[in-house]
Amino acid sequence: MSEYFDPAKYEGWVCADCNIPLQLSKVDVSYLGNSFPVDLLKCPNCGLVLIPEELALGKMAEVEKALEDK
Amino acid sequence: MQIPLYEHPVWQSVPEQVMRPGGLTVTEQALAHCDLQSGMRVLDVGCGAGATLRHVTAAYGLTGFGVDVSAELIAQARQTNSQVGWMRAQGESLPFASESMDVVLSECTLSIFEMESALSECVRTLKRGGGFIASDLYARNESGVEALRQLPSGTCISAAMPKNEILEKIESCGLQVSIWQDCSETLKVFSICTLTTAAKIDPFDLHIAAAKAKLGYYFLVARKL
Repeated sequence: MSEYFDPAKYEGWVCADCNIPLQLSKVDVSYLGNSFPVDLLKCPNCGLVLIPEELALGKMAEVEKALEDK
Repeated sequence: MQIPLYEHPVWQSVPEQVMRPGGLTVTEQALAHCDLQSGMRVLDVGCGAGATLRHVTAAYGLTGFGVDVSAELIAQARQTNSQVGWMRAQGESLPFASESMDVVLSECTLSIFEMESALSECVRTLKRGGGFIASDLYARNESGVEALRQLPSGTCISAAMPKNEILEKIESCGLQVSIWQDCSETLKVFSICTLTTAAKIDPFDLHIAAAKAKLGYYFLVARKL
C-alpha cells in the first residue's frame, strides 16, 4: 500500500530494461540532504523507480516549487 | 492508542537519544558563553531521557535537575543517572524554589510549551544574572509561518516562530539576550524522518511548509536582569 498513489492502477507494469514486474518497495526520497522512505514501484533487478504521475505532479511538484521560491 | 510524540520508539534509534537538531554540539556552543563553575545548579526543562544533563553534569561538575512531562522518559533518565534530580513536571509549572538555578536550558522545547508561562517559570527559578539557554526551530521567512501552522499541531515545527517574535517574548520576561546564533546547518543532518514518523506528519507536507517558512534553527543565550 502507498499513501500517494493506488498501486492497483499500475498492476502489470514491467521494467523496460529487465522485463521484470515492478514491485512496491521502500525508496528513499531526498531533498536538500534530508531523506525519508516512500513506498514506490521499483524494479527488483536494476532498481529503476517509477514515480507515479499523481505523485510527480502532486506533492513532489509542490515541494520543488516551494524550494525554488525559497 | 496514540503514542506521545517524544515517547515514540523511533527515537530509540537516535544516537544518545538526543531528540533535537545539533545535539550536544549546540549545547556546548551555548554553554561556552555561560562562565560555568563546578557545583553550579543547572535545570533542563524538557529534559527527555536526560542525555544533555548526563553530559553536562559529568563534563562541568554541575549539579543537575531535569524535568519532563513524560513519566516514561523521566523513568529512563532515572535509570541512567541517579545523581541528577529528575522530576516529572510541566515547563509551565516548575517544582523549584525561586532564584535557585544558575543556568536553565530549554532545548527544542520552548515552542511546544505555552511559551509565556514557561519563560516566566524559567526566569523565576533563575538567580539574578543566571544564564538562560534556548535552542529551537524558527521561521526565517515570516510570511511562511502560516504554512507551518497547517501541519499537525504539538511539534516544534508547527509552532515555530519568527526571530523577532521569539526575542520579544524572551525579553519581555526579564531576560537580556546576549547571543543569537543561527545554526540552521544542523537541520541538514538531523533525521527529519524521525520527527515525521513520531508526529505522523506527511514528509512531503513538512518539506513544503519548511521551504515556505525557510525553517531554521537557532540557539540563544540570555541573562536574568
